[in-house]
Amino acid sequence: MDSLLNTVESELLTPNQMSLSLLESAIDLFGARTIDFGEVFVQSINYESLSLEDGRVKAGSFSQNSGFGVRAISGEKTGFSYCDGIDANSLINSAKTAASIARRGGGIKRENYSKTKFLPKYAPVDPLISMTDKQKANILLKIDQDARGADPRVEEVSASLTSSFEHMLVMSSDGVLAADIRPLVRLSVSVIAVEGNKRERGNAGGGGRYSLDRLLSSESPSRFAREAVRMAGVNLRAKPAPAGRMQVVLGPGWPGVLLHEAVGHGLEGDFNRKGSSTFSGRVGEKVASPLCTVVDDGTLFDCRGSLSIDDEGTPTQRNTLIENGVLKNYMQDKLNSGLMNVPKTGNGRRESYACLPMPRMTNTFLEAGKSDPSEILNSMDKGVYAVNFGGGSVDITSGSFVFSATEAYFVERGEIKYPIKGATLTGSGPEVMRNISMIGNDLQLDSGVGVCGKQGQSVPVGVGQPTLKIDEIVVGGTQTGS
Amino acid sequence: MFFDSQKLKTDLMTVITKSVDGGLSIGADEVEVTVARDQGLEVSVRRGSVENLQLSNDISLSVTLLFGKRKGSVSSTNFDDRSIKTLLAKAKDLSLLLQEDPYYGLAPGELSPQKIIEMDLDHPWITEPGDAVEMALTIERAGLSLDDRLLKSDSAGVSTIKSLVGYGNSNGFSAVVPSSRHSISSVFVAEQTDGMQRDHWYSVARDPDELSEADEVGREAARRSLAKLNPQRPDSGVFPVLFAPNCASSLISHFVSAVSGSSQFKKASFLLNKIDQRIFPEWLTIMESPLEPRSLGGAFFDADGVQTRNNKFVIDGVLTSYVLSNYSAKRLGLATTGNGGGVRNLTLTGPSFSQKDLLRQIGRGVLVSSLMGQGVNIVNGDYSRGASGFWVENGEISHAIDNFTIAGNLSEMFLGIQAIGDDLDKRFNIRTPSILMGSMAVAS
Repeated sequence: MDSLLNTVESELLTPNQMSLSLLESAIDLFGARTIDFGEVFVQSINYESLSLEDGRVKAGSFSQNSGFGVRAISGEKTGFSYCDGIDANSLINSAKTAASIARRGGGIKRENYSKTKFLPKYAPVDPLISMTDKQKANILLKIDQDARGADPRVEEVSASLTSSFEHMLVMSSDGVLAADIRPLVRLSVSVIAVEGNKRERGNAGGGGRYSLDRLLSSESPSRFAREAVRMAGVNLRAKPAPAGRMQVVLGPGWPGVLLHEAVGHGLEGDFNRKGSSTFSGRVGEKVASPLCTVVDDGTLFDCRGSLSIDDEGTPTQRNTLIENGVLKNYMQDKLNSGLMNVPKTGNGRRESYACLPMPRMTNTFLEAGKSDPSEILNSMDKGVYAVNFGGGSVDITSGSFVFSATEAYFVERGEIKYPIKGATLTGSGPEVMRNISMIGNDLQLDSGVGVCGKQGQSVPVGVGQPTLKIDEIVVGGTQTGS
Repeated sequence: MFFDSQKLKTDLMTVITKSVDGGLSIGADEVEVTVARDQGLEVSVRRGSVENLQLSNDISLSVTLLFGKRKGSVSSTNFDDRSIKTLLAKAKDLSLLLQEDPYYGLAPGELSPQKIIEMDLDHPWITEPGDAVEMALTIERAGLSLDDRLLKSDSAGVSTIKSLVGYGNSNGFSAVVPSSRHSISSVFVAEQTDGMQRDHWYSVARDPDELSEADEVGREAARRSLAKLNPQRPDSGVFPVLFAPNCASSLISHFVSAVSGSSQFKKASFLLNKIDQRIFPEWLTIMESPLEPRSLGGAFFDADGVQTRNNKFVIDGVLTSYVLSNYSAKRLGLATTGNGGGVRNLTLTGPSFSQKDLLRQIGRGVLVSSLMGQGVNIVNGDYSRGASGFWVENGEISHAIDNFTIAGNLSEMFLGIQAIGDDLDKRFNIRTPSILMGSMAVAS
């Protein structure tokens, strides 16, 4: 940990003629006001993207972003000021600005700083330099070859390889001094296949918090290429989707977007402190079928949604949100846990120094059940089996959520009949969670592609679930009354 | 509190010159630079007191270097001399690693503006946080006055941003444009025994004089939240669907994606090769007016440094032009339409009807006031989205509805537009009135 902090210091502070004692003096400026909590967050992110199109790797971008955000909290009030670039003068000015949220006098209670201890959840490797640029380009070319080789109907292949390398350091008046080094890589493949006058897309991808060589030395690139082609092929055969309420079985892994939308957002501490979530004030109540145990776990090694510490310096943890259908816990950051007088849960995240932290999910999933996946499918009378999704969204106040299938099948008497065109599924979170009647023993996390947006801030997340059956949910196809 | 535009304008010009010259001096054949500097003040209040006070300070520099037909793009949040130098070297490394594309290259210099056009986009407003707080409190109070039993304020906000955006390239064109953007907004949660509903409203403008009155914004947000209470599920079946202007705007954004040059050359569009074909009803026209003074989408040059112009993309229902950037135009063997970076102030026009008329035309069906989810496939036009809104019975709004989906195919939906409203919403870059769809599948 000491060496991690030293590395981050020498990356973020030293080259900009800054030091930890300068950050301390910025927080000390809050002393002239009635402030409960003061914080300085410093960050740099290097980002690189290479992409392939028309069989050539011909687009690439690199960015180097750095800056800081200063935050002062007084009761329910927050003052916040951020700057692109890291320099001492701007830091002091920003601290004064943030402090203006509170009245003069009173003073801040400042704890002695101690370095946060935690177990790293990923290695501090720079993915951008983990392999040569030539090697990166060759992987993309191989994907093009594999995809076109897999099916002659493939007309367009695009693929991109992105890596980012982040250094962050946070110091706050509650005595926290913490730093982290975070790698993140992602490979995405998209193909268009054509048959007659039908054109369909297929996508695949994955990644996590590790170096590029690990992502690329595995079978993954070829697997993603074949997977994208397979999906496009399935969709070329797809018929219009049915419309109305019916049984739906969701496959394992990425369909866990269900949990993220149907319950995840509604269990974030800020909405619940303000009483604006459909789950507000319901801890201890039954909010899902007794088969359901939902967990948010930021500690899974190398996963896309994982963090060693959150962006407030709190070590992440495994939080059981719903246990056997009963609501146990909300996800919290410092502001909301303080105001609600409950423990922090390590869910305080921010897109960057330019945004305020909020309670956010990390890796959210449904625990495995007892059923065999084939038994679940066999139990279906008539309905939809959906295995891939584009994404979803939720209105946390009414509880309404949607998520859109990109690969789904019509099933009758336990038998897959034919693929259907992408349909949106919709329902009210608590209602749909009560309608879950079977849960498989095949828990899987997604392959590492999720991005979650909230109030304009995007953060990487993971989702997961085993195969599960929902007795009734609205399927938004075009075939009404079928 | 805010920067001095005049002084900073000179600084940004210097950064542009340094980057262009620096790029050429390390051997680049062509250089393109974008710089931006923003400062913003944003406050939000909740239940009578300040919740957040935020001050932002943004700096960005993006440089693209071209070595022959190879290209490298880099960006940074610093534009001191040392950063520029590092960045240029990185761009060179990157472009030499990448493969050639015969269509890369700057737009010809003669397509760039020959003179600066005054767009009147910069109108300072509030500079003191205290004034912003006062206004936000006014918004909140106005909303609550509608019904203080059923309503809880979730937030009321005021935001003002001042920007300087500069562009320059090695063909000799450069410009730095000052602008401002102000907005006031409000969110309410309405609660009755059977559940809660939220809705919001906002006003946004370059010139503060063009913002709606603060209390009007608060009242509209409150009215909308209350109207959503006690939702029922609509019947499943095929019904006429009226898209409120905010939802109609998203519908036309799918048209823009489908006719953008990149979707055309990637053959990833349900409107592939449809030039000169009818894709909308014959009374409908879609055009853009990027040069409109004080407008939110206003710009006299695009992201390629090409002068913008008033394009017509659809005339009498017929697709007359794709939305083209310098690159996508070259790929398709066409001329750029000045749409590098997208469309600006796109407007849908035609004979219009009042909402009352439109509801009468529906008879029995659905008014959609908000859409959710990503169920839109630009490749094949399949459309299936979650929605909430109102049930229409006997030509009048009957009650709130939610948890339903509307589905169809965009090709058919566009041709099947029955009528449009007289309620053009100018808050969006894609400005549309209400759009009435003849029939869509509603599932619930």
